[in-house]
Amino acid sequence: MIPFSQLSIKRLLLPAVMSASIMSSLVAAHDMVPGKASSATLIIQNATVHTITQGTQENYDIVIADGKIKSLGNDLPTPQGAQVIDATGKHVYPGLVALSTTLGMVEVSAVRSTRDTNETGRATPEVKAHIAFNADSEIIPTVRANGIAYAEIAPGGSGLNGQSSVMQLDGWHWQDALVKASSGMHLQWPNVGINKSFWERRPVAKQKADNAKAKQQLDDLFAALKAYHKAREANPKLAIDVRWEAMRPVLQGTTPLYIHANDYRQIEQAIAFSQEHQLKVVIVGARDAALALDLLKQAKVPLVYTAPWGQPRRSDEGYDDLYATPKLLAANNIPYALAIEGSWNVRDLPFAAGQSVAHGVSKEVALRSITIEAAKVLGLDATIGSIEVGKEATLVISRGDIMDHLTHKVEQMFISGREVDLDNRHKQLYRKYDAKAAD
Amino acid sequence: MNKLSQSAFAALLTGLVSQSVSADQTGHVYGLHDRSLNKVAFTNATVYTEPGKKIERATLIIDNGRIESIERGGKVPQDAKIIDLTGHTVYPGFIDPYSDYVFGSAQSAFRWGEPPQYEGKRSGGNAWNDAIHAEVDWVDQFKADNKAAKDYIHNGFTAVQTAKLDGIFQGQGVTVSLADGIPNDLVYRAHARHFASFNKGSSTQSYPSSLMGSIALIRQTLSDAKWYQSAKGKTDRLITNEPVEYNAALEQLSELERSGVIFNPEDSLDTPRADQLFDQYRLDVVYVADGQEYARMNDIKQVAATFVVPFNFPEKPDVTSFEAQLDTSLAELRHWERAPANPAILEDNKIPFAFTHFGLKKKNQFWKNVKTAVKHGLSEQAALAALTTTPARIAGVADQSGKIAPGMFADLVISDGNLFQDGTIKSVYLMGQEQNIKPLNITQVAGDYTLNLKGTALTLQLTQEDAKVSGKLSLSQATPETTDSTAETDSEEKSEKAKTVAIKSHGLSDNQLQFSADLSDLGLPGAYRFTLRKDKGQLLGQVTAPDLARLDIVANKSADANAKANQESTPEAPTYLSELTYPNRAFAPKGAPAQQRVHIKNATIWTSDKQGVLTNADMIIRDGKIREVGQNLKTPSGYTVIDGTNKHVTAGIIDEHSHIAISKGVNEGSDAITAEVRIGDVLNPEDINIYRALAGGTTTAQLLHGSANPIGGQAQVIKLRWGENANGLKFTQAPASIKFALGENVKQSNWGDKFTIRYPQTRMGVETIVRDAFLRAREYKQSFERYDDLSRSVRKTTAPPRRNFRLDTLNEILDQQRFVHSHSYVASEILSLMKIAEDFNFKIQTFTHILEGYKVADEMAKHGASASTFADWWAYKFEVYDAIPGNTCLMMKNGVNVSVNSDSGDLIRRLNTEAAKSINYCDMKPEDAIKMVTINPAKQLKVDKFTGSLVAGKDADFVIWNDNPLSIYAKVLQTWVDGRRYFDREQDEAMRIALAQEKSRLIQKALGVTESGSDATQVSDAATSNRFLLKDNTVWHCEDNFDFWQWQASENHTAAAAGHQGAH
Repeated sequence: MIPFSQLSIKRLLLPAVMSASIMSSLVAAHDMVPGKASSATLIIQNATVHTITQGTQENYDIVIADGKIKSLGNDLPTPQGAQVIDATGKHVYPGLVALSTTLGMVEVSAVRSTRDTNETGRATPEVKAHIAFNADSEIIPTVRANGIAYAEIAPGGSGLNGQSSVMQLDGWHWQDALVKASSGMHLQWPNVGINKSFWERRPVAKQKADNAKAKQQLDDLFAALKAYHKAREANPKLAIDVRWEAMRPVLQGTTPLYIHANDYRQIEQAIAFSQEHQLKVVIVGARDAALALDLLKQAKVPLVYTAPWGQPRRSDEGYDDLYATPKLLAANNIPYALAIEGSWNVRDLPFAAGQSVAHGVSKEVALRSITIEAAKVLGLDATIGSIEVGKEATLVISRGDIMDHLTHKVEQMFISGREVDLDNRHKQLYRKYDAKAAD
Repeated sequence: MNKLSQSAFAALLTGLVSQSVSADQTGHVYGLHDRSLNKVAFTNATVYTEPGKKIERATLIIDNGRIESIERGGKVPQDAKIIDLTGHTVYPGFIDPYSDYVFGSAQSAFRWGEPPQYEGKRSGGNAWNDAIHAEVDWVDQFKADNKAAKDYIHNGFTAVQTAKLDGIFQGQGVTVSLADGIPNDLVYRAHARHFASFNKGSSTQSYPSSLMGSIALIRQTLSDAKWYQSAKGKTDRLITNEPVEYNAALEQLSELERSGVIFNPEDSLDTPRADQLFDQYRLDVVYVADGQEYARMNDIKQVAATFVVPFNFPEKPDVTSFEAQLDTSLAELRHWERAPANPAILEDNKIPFAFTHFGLKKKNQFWKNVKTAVKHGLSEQAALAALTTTPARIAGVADQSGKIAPGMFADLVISDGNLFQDGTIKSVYLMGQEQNIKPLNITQVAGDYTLNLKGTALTLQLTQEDAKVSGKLSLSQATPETTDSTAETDSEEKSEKAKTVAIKSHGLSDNQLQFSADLSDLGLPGAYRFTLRKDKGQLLGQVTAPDLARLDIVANKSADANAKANQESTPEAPTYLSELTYPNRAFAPKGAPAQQRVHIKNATIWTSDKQGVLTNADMIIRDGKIREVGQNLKTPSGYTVIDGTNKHVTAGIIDEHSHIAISKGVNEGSDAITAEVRIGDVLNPEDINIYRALAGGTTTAQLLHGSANPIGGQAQVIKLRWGENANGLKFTQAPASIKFALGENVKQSNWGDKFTIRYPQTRMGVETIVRDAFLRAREYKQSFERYDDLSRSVRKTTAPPRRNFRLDTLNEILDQQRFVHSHSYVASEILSLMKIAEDFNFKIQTFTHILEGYKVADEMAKHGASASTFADWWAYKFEVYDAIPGNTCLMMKNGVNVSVNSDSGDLIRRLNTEAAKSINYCDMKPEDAIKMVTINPAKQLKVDKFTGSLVAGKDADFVIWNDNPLSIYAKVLQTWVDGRRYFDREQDEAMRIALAQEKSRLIQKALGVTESGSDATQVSDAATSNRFLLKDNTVWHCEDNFDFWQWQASENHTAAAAGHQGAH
C-alpha cells in the first residue's frame, strides 16, 4: 500500500482534471482524513518562499522534520531519505491565520440546530468556543483549501460573549485541533451615535438614552467584576461564580479582551476603557480606523480590521474609503491583522489581502496582515505566522500568487508537518456531476 | 366703557352670536326665539379682500355670519356694532385643505408576532381590501370639536377640508367651518375630495405590504371602479356564473371625476408615482408636499398639479461636536439650509400651492415658519393665496370662503400689522363668531420716559409684548441725545453699571399699568408702587411711596423710541452655502455628463465577442455608440483621445440580479402570486448605491422583486444613469421580465412559526400553485373572447370581463412577451418549473441563484434556460448546502449560458472578481469569466443587441481598468454609459474635497447660528421625521420580506430590525 502522504503528493502534482478522475472512485465513500504525522524528513525545493519575516526568497529550500521547520536556504543539501517536493515556479507561504470566525460552530446558518455561536444572556464570559467546535464541519475543508491553516473561533452575541480559541483546521476533534484555548474574551462594544437608517424606529432621544444605558451597564459590570476579583484574591475560599471567575484572567491582564468596535466613538471609548481598567485589549472591526489614526498610534493596541470590502455606512463616505483603510494604517505604521468575520466566506481571506493591495498596501504588508500580524494578535507569533527555522511546519504551496484569483491555486498544505488533504465537499460534488456530464 | 373694556365686551357679543348660530333651523325651539341683531361694522381697517387686492380705510360689514359689504370709507349702518380697526389688517379666513380635524389619523392596529391576516374584514358593501374605505362619507360622522379647532384658529384658520387619514382610499372628505355650533350649520361642502394615500394605515390585512403593492392595488381599484359601472346588476357568465356583487366602495369611487382627490404620497419621490396612476383617468388630484419638492423640481413640474405644503422645516442638524457630526450627512445640512425656500421655489416654478397645518409637530411654529419662508423669497401675495383662494378651490368652497366679498362667509383674520412680516393675529371670525386671540386694542406703553420723583430725575424704559410689560428705572443722565444706535448702546451700558433697577410689572390691564420697584440704589430708599395710565404721549398716575404717601406722577415720553423699532424689520436676503444637485446629496453630479466623442488608444480590449481580447487596440465612441473596435485606428478630428497604455477596457458590467434603487419594499410578500406589482413603479434614482455600483464598473442591472412568493413582481432593467430621474434610469429597449421564486423562501420555511397557513408550504404546493395560476390566466384571456361572441341580448345581462392586472401579466408570459427569471436552488424544483413552462409552451429565461444548476445542467441546456448564479456562496441555509463554486464551469460545460450576479449592494461593486473566482475554483478561461458579467447576462436580459460586448454599433457602455479586470489588483478608472462618463476615479477624488469643504461651510453656518443664541440646545430629530430622504438608502435582499407599512407605523421594534440580515 502506498503511504498516504506519498499518494496525495503525487495526486496533487497532477493536473486538476486528471486527478479528479482518478480520485472520483475514492471520494464517494470517504471523507477527508486528517493528515498523519510523518517521521520522515521533507524538503521543499526551489520555491519562491514568502517568509513574511525574512522577506521573499527565490529558489529557496525548506527542510521539515518533526513537524517543525529545520532549515531554510538556497541549495540546501537533501537530507538522507527525505521526501522531495519540487516546487520550482511555485510559491510557499506560511499557513494563513483567520481571525474572528465561527468555523466549526455553525454549519447551516439558517438552521437553528446547526448554530452553536450565541449563548443566551448579555454577559456569558464563561463559555468557550472550542467546546462547540465540530472538526467534521463540511465548511472547514473548503476554507483550508484556500490556504487557511488556523482559525480563531469566537462566540457571538451583543454583549460580553465569551472566550475564543485557536484551532488548527485539520483535526479529528476539538481536543486534537485545539492550538490555544481561551485566547481572548470577546466583548461587543455598546452602540454609539444615532442610527438614521430606515430600520431604526426609535427616535433620537430614545437612541441616545439606550446608548448611555448600555454603556452604563458595561461600567457597572466591570465595577462588579473588580469587586469579585478583589474578594476572591483576598479569600480564595469564596464561592465561585463561573461567569465572573472567567473574567479574572482578563482583569489580571493575562487574557486579552477583544473589543468589537467599529464606530470612531466606540474605538475611542474602548481605548479609554482599556486604559482606565488597565486591560490588555484587541480592537476588532475598526471600520472607522481612518478617523482614529492618531488614537490608534498612541494606544498601540493590536488591531483586527474586518472590512476589507466594507460598504460605506454613512452617506458621505467615499465608495472605497473602507477598501483604502489598510493603506492608511500601513502609512501610519499601525500594525493590523485582516479578517473576514463568518464561516464559509472566510475562504476569501487571501483575496481580502489582495484587495488591500489594489488599494495601496504593499504585498508584503498585505501578507503580514493574514499571517504574522494575526499570529501576534493571538499571542502565537513565536510558533506560527511566518516561515522561520524552529517554527511549526505549517506551509502552503500555491501555483502562483495566493492573493489573486488569477493565480491562486493551493496545491499542497502542511500543518505542523502533517500533510492536509485538500479535497472537500465542493470538489467531490464537482467530480460527481462532472461524471454525469461525461455520460 | 370705563369699566368694561372693548375686548371684554366683544367676548360677551360672541356669546350672543354663537347662541343664535347654534339654533336648529329644522327643529323645535325651546324657550324664546332669537331675533337679536348680529350686524358688525369694522371701520378704518386695511383689508386684503383677496391676494393682491388691498383696500385701505375700509368699512367691512358682516351680518348673520356672512359678509354684507366691503367698501373704502363705507358708511356704517345704524344697526351695526362698530369695531374700530385703525392700525389693523383684515385677511380672509385661512383654509386648510388637508386636515384630520375631528377624525384623526390612523393608529396602526398591527402587533408584532401576530399571525398574518390574508383576508379582509367584510361588512356592508365594503371593498375586499381593508385599506380601502372609499364608501365612507366623512360628513356623516362630523361634529365640531372646539378643542381640536383651537390650534387652527390661533393660526387664523377658519375652515378645513377633513377626513380620517387612514388607508389607501380613505373616503370622501368634508369641508367645514372650525366654528362652534351644530354640525348642520358648519358644513361648507358635504362631499369634498376623496382622500387617499399609499399607506394602508390601520389595516392589518397582509396585502399590500410594500409601496409597489399599494400602487398595484390603486391601479386595480381604479380600473375596477370603472368596470363596476358597466357590470353592476349583471351576471358573470364568463367564468364563475355568479351575479356581480354589490360594492359600495367601487360605487363611490366612480365619482372621483367629480370630487377629485387629495393624495398624500408621504414623500415627494412618490408624487410622480401616484400621478402616473391617476393621469390616465384624468382625475383632478391635489398632492400633499413633503418639503423636498425644491430638490426634485423637474419631476414635480411634470406632475402639473396643485400642492398642499406643510411647514415642517427640519431642525438644525446636530454638529455640536465631531462625534455628533459623524451621524449628520451633507444631505441633512443641505436640506436644513434650503428647506425654508421650498415654497418660494414652488412659486418661482408657477406651481400652485396651499399651506397646511398637517405635519407640523408644534403648531405654534406655523407663523414663524411662514415668515421664514417669506424671508426666503416667498411673495406675500403667494403666501396669502396659499392660505385663502387656493385652498378654497381645493376644498371646493371658493364660492363661500377664501375671499372677503359680499355673500361669502364672515371668515376673517384680524392682525395688528402685516402678518407676513411682523404682525400677529389678534382676532379670528368664523362665520361671524369672534374668537379672541389677543386683546384687539391693547395700550402701547413701550418706550423711554422721563419722570421726576421727589426731586430725582428718573428714566423709565419700558418694553412690551402684548399685555406683558417689563422695564427698568435709572437716574437720568445729562447725556446728549443721539440717534446713533451704537453710541446709545455704549452710554446705556455705562449708566446701567452706575444705577439701574428693574421694575416688577404687575401687568397692563384696561389701559392701566401697575408696577413696583425698589429705588434704594437710585437714592430713594424703599419700594415704590406705581399706577399709571396712558394719555396721549404721557403716562399719568400716582406712586405710593414706602411711607404710604401717594404722589402724582407724570412720565413724559422721549422722542427716539419709535425710530428704533422701525429699524428691525428689514428682511435679510438669504444666502445659501450649499449646492443643489439631483439627487440632493453627496456624490451627485451637477448635471448629466455630456455625451462625448472619444478615441481610446492602445489598450487591452476585452470585447466579449468574436474578436476576443485585443492587445494594443483602439475603440472609437460617438453619439453614445461604439463606432469601431480594432487596432491602429485613426483619430477623427474633434475626438478626445484617452491613452489606454497599460489599461484594460471591458464592456460595462451587467448584473442579472440586483435590488438597489428600489423604494419602500422589495417584496410584496403577502400573496403567493403578485404578478401585478412592478419594480418599475418604485425605482429610486436617488439611491447612492447606483453611484457605488458605477464605481465598480456596473452599467446595467436587472432590479428584481424579492423571493417571498412563487410568482413575484415584474422586474425592471435599468442603466445606471446616476443623476437621471426614475424614467431616465429605465433601459427602455429591455423586454419585460418577471421574478419567480422556488424553495425555502416561498414556502416560508424561515419566516417563523406564525407563517404556516399560506399556500404553499411545500415544494409540491409551489409547483401546483404556479400551474393553477397559468390555468386561471388562460381562462381569463378566453373570457374576453367569449364575451365578444355573446349575442347582444345575453350581453345586456352579462358583466363584461373585469380587467385583472395580475392575470394580464401571466398572459404576457404565456405569450412570450415577458420573460421569467426564477430564484431557485435545488435540482428538483428546477426540473419542476421547466416542466410547467414546457406544458404551457413557454421557456424559463433564466434561473437565478440556481446553486444546484450543475446537477441538472444538461436538462437546463435542453430546455434553453440560462443561469445566473453566485460565484461561491453556500451553507447559509439548507437548500444551499450542496452549492459549489464549480457550478459555473459545469453549467457552462453543458452548454448553459452562465452569468454571476450580485443580489447585494456589495457584490454589485465587484462582479469582476466574482467572475474571476471561477478561474480559481474550476479553471474557467479568463475570456469566459469576463463574459459571465458582460455579454452572458446581456443575453439573459435580452439586451445583447444593445450592450454587453464591445462591438461597433452597440451602446458605448464600457469600463476602463488599471489592470487585468479579473485580477484582485484591478481598479475601475472610468465607467461610461451611453458614451457618457458617469464615473471617473480622479473626478471622484476631486469631488470628495469639494464635498468636505461644502460640509464644513454648512457646519460653520450651523454653529454660527448656535453662537448667536437662537436655539443652542435644539438638535435635529431628522432621523425620525425625514427618514426616507436623509438616511442612506436601504439595500434590499431577496429575503427582505416584511410589511413596509406596518413597519412604518410601528415604533421601538429593534428586535424585528435584527431580522434585516437577509440571506438570499
